Amino acid sequence: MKLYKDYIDNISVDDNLHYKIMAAVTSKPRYCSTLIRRYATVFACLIVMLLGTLTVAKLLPYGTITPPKNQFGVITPSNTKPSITSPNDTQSSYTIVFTKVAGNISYDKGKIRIPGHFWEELPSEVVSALFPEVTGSRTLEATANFTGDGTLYNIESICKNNNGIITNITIQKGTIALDKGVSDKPTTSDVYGIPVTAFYWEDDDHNHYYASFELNGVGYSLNASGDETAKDELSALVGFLIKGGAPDLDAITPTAIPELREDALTLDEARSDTDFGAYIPINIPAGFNFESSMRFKNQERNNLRVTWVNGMDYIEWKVSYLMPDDKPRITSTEQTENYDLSLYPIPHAQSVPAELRKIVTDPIFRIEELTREVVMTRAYKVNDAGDTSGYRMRFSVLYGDILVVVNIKGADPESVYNMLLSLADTQ
Amino acid sequence: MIGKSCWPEDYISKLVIKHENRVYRTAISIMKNRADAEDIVQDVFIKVMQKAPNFESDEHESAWLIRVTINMCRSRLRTAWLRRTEPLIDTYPAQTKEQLNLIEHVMALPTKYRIVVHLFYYEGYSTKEISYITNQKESTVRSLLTRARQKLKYVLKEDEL
Repeated sequence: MKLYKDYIDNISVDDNLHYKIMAAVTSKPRYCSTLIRRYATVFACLIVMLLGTLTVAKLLPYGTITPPKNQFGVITPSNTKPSITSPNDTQSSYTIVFTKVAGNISYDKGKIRIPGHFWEELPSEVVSALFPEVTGSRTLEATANFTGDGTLYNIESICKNNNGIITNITIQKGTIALDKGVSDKPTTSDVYGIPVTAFYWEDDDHNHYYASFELNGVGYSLNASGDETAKDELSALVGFLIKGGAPDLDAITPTAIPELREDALTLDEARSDTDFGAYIPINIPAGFNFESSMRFKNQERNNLRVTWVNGMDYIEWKVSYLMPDDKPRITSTEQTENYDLSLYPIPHAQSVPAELRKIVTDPIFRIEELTREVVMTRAYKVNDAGDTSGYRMRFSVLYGDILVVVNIKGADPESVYNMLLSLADTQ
Repeated sequence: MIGKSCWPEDYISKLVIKHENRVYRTAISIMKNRADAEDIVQDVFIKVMQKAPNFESDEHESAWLIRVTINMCRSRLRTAWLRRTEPLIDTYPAQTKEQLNLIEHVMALPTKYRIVVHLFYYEGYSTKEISYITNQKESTVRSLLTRARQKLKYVLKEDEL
């Protein structure tokens, strides 16, 4: 469940919520729960509506209700504070209304699952063609994201103006639902005849501005963070992009489609793998049988996995090249605080310092330093888990630039050490 | 032994700083959305102010807060006031396709499984401790864990490495 741990580890209380908590616990009269507060709000609304109805009915002699002049039954949300902008450098008359919304929005490329995803940085001439009205006055870098068959998924670009304001621009075929996570409906403004949806939200440091629109079947989304100048820049860019017209996205094709593999292998095929097969151990602890092997390769990952099982016990073995992201987890065996689980009582969420959490969860040892004792420090038993009660361990070992990740339940540390040691001559 | 009458001025502040992330993460894993989890975490600390329990140890303090969090989440899930907001994965995007796959499967588990999975795998509590925290028999907790593992068997294989 490492991926689950990593995911939850990345969730934390932000400053806004922390202040809300502190305000809640330090203002003693507010000892009613949010649920009660919600009920109270609803009851208050009902009472106001009831009193209002009764009052209006009394004021109208014939029992008819006429709305006041210039009021068409439209209710403006209280948290909608239109902020009107006239971008200076477009010399245009359009205005974009940014609706204030509560909290963060959902759009993030991290959640997008692009089948067989790969990407290419686009050359400057292509960037100029994509953003003809922008490139003369700003610097632009753009990345094209493709699906595994070479179809363009979207183009993500970073635009920087002379004042250093950075705006992210994403374009793709169809509509980009930038506001799908926004609780308040943003206002739509007209820019050169194109409806533009825009909104912003605040945190302690900045305002975060967003705008989206569709131009001849091409969806655009822009976001920038900062003060009013960021909003002005974003507004100006919307005008430039619309004036520049929609590009022909079909013309964006990859120069090459990288090798993509996601193959199920037999154990023999795994051991024959040119890159990593030599790092699959020959001698496996008694009782464990080969279950599966997968060879993954794409722009981000390149690894070989093999799993052996023995009932509910397992040995999972992954071989890959050492990546830059892995390097901070390499530890000397002298730094026991980085890996020795006996130093950290369960629950680890409480006992392991936050700054050591990643390395303690998955330390990387150099094979030259690996000893039986080090392997023992990674082994622990959980006797009451509704599961088999053997040793569990997880760590990685570095053989030159080859990384072997082991995740094991039910094999004894001595066997695991011998398996790892048997690969030492492979380098 | 810390009781209401002898809590130092800054005790609650330290308590919040020490536990807010754990409480929030637990609430997030059960409620599956940010808005409800934010309400829960505030209510939990209001509750601790109201009750001012005598914590016998750090472990007791942690377990008490987690138990209150779970109870408040269960209570909230029974009400009609559950907020209809964006999925958790939209608020806190996964970093990889594999992580996305696992989180979607974990979040699709029924609440009773999700609670024990979070306490066991993330918090690292034993089934005995989980039985105390969730007020269930230890055998029930073991059974829930085993069934949860079976439900996650396919994605867990990809997760662990």
